[in-house]
Amino acid sequence: MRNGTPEINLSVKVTLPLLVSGLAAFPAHADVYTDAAERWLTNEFTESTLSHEQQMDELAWFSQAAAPYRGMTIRVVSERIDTHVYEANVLARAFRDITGINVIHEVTGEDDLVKKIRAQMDTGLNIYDGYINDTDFIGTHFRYGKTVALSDYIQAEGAEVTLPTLDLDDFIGLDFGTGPDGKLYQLPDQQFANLYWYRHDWFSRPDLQRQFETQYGYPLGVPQNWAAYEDIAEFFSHRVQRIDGQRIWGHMDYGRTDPSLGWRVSDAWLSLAGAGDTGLPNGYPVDEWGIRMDGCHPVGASVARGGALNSPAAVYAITKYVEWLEQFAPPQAFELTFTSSGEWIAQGQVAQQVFWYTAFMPALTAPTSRVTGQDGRPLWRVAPSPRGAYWQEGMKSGYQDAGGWTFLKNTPADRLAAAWLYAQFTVSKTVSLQKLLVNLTPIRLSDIESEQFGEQAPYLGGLVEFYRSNARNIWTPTGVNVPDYAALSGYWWQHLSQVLRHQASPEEAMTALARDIDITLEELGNDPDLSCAPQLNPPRPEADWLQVPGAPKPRLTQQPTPVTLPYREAIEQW
Amino acid sequence: MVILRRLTGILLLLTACGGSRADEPLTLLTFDIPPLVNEQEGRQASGYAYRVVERMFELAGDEFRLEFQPPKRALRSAMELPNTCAFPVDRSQERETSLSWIGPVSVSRHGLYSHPDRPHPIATLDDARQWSISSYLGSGVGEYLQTQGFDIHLASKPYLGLLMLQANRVDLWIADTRAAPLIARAQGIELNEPELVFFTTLRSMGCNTSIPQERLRKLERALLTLYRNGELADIIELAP
Repeated sequence: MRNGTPEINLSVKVTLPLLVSGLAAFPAHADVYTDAAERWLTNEFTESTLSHEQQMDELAWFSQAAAPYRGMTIRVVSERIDTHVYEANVLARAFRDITGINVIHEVTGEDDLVKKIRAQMDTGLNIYDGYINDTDFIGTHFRYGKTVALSDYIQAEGAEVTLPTLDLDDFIGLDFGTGPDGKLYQLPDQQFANLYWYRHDWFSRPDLQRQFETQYGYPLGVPQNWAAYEDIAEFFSHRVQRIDGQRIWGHMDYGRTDPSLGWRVSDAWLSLAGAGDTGLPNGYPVDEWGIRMDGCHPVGASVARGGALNSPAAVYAITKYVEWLEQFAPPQAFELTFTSSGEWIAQGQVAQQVFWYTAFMPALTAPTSRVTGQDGRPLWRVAPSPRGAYWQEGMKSGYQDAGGWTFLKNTPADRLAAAWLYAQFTVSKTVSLQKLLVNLTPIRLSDIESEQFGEQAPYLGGLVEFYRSNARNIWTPTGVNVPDYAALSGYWWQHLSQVLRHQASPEEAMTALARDIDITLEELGNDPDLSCAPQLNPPRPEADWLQVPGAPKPRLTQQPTPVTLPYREAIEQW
Repeated sequence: MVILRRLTGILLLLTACGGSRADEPLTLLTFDIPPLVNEQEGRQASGYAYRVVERMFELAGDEFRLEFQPPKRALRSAMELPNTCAFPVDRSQERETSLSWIGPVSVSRHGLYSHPDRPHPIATLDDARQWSISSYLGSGVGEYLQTQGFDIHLASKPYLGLLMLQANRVDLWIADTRAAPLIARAQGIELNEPELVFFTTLRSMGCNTSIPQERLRKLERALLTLYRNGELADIIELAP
């Protein structure tokens, strides 16, 4: 309860017999678990939007609800970012101490996670009891019927193990994990955005500002479009070259042949270029993967079928990605991945990065960071990413990753219940603010609006402002248009790596990618069990589609004029 | 004449490539890791991962030739040699782009084992950072922990890691929880329950990327059929 109002909008009750039997069956243990709760509140969960008493009540509920499952060991898996490492090392241990349920919380590569959840769906084996799976999978989960609809579960068989103070309305990313059928399949555990990052201190230097304006004819500032981003990249990499005796670069990215190369582009790079249609969250009828929809049915990715994956805008997006990597990024960037590149900018050699995941913000605020001033404040800022030549008002502006707790129906009921308890513990108000302050991946509005998070604003370079604005709703994950993320995502890195190795032109690679996506969509369309299954459009001459308003869009003959804004004006868009 | 000879050469090469693809059995490299794969005399094998692979080829109407190699060499050979696959290999993001994958042919739980005389209670994986740990070359889990900064010592074969534990050269040994008791018994070594079963891997067949995708897709479809018709449920038992 908060402000005297019920905090969960669904009718969930913990039955008295369960509480009584739980307490009665483990009278001696109850003290152990209460002591553990007190110890964890004193030593770790010191920051919370709940009072100490409310935290104790919440932990007592976990201890009592867990009673039937004590001694059990459950297995969950998540991707390799700091938030999940914290959960694996700290929260899993706290949960064991407070409830008596052992948790093996594995942390692994995002692509491993994709393969593992797909394997459990295919094989029927109970490989894990819970997954923190990106909500990019929502199109898969609502279609296949193999995923537990949490909104159903917490009202029925899971009612007794659903936290009364879960407060679903407090989660900012609930829509991301909700299918078109209105059911919640994935409960957000962490969220991070993809934003523009730059060295505010360098951009603020009068000598560099004068030099830039003299050479390019407009002020050095936060780029609003790719034309300005490219000029700034060229300025720092080729003209400035060194600051304080150190080689610096006007652009940073990654290009190793690795699965993460795929999501570097499938995470909304095409929508930033302007390849899709207007409309949120993903663009309709053509989305950020270039897939055209008809109602809830994907009907094609290639231009010939009405998609935009090999459209001029998509080819332009890939061309710029490769050109900038080759011309303006440090040579090491070609050998870096999502994980290894994310922390690279903390070394202090990069002036700006067009597409930077805020999951790596803890590296920038760490004591080893070289992008923090002597007063402890950041030398950098984050701002909305600049947009490509085809982008129009009303289109998706950026990507947000939302890792959501996801459970498959073939999980045995007792293991599912125990895993659901752990999931709720990791997002409970008792622990969520402390988790946010350590890892900076917010999920709850109450935490975002908290005094403690607000106090961090001067040290987080714009992250607090981003999450306190409406931007948190319009930076969106991959949407429901992608009917089988695991089956389709592997094509991206395979074709993009050919462009980076000069084995294919951007146009050839995107045409081959669109063909592979279309073939798989057609195969998926033959699955009679799939909801909203793909129904491919028959191919038509590309010119027919290109002359129709919206995506796929014809080739632009003129490039936009470069535009920059001062930082404050730039973030007013949020 | 020069042109003709060159054309003839190209035609011969194309014919040879085509013949190789259509007619030659795939070379499957594996290693002794009971009960997943048991090496037997005369290049024969048993074990449940082997049975999965065998059934998959039967159903797909394809053929293979089996060879045993140490795991690391098997993995490298599959990456470098045409028409070659290795199994049962831990599939991981780091290895994803080096091979074409079909699987899982087994799902493995991996435990941390201590010497019965020197127990090291471990609640989460992070607790193991203070200890030295043995595994084997080619183990995806060993590589995974190395990249996470753990003190890992890699032996050339799975059982040698246990001998390192026995000889007090390391504090913990990583092993597949089904393989560990069998390896210990074969070596005449007493082994307790694992301190922590900390990681799960999908073990798959990793194939050279030059093998035509259509051939691999046929095998993959066969494997999926075996999973869906329930035939593999009896072969692959997975402890919770």
